[in-house]
Amino acid sequence: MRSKIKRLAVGAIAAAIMVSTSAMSGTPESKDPIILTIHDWTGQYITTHIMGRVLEEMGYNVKYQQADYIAQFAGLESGDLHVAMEMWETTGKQAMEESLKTGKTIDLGETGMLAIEEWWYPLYMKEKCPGLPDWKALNKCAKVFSTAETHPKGRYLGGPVTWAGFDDERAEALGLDFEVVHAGTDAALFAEVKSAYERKAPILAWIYTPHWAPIKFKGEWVNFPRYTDDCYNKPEWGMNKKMAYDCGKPRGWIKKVGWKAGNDKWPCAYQAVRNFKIDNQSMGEMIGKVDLEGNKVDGVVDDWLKTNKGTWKKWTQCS
Amino acid sequence: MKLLGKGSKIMQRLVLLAAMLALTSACSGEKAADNQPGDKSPETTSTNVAEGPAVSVSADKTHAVQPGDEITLTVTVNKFTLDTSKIGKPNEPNVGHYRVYLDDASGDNFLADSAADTVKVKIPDVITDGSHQLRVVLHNNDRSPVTPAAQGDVWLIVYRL
Repeated sequence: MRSKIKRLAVGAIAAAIMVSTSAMSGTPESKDPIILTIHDWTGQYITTHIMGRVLEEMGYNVKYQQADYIAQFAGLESGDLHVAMEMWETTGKQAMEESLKTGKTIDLGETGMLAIEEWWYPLYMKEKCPGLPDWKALNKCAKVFSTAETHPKGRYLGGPVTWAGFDDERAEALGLDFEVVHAGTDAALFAEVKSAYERKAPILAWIYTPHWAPIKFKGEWVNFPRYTDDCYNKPEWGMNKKMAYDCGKPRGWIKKVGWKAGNDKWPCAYQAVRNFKIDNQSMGEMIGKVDLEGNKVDGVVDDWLKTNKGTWKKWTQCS
Repeated sequence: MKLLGKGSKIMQRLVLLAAMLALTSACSGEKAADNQPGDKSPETTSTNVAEGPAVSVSADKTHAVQPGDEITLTVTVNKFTLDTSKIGKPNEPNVGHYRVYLDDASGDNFLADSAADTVKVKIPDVITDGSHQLRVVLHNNDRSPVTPAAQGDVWLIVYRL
């Protein structure tokens, strides 16, 4: 009886080992490197490096390739690039939908983060422009937001041109007496916001989240007419019957997107990318550790991987 | 320096002491600057009253809060006893409850009134997209705020999707 139990126990252990091995067996399906795209904002560096490190743990070769946020779709369609970890509904929805229609790219699902990126002002500006956050108040206080270069028009500091977002079109369609000035980089954008905030100087700028900025800098987003697909696609929609973009940006998901053929080449890796999930809270804190506390992305990613092993290990399960 | 007399050595020590004091004062000044409202940690903040009661608060969610969301606050007091049974009773020193206010609200315009270690508050359905502050303010049994005021706060990023 005892030896039978012993044999059963040994069998159970062997079966358990086989099951656990089978979850990872056959990976990597190809030694060719999986190319993850890198853009120009801290959060995207973090999500991409977390994913890259997890894929490496699974045995895949990974390469990081700098790519333009919107223009990367050409590379994702051709297979020169393989996975993009952050496509924001706020700015990338149209480009992503167009690309998916080609049948050469694949939607790899939501990251779990919920985005907003819109025209933003510090709370102290409400005294100088009392009608805010209603967008209609902007023209009444364009001069309050003006600078020597833009006077008498107000100045709106937009994101880098590569982020898209249609702010130039938005200003024109809504008849805003504002000049849209694009920051050169993510860092330049936040440096200018920080400088203005500390001096309590007027500023109207592109602020997005997940990010530390809306916690560090107290402020509000302008309340534009709510986005609908028709607002971007049909000029006759909204208050300006001749122009599209007379509304705010979309809000919501941040998705992963990939080269479709990669799904057949590295199925388990693509499954892991699909499984990737993180929330705004964790991401906002990690971005703050890099941007505010001066930590390196690698170190922050290391810490996250060490303390969240139970989370990312589940991503690697391949059915 | 070796040629300097005893008086000079005393002077040297005094200068050193003054420099140390100046450094300490500069450091404490920097710390005070770090505690400006705009720079507070999003999760836990408190107003420290030197002698009297103090309160600190943390929230289970500070990012991507949506109108109508329920936030759980954890409240910790120092030199103060929270006691629900005493609400409405005569005041006792350093005994009472707290009220949770949104942004600049005051008086009876509170989101919650409690003496528990944790409290759930519902973010109003109508609220601007942006930074909002939940303030936990200690109150006496008779529902008057304690003096000097003791408040802890937490900042949220709220937006509609």
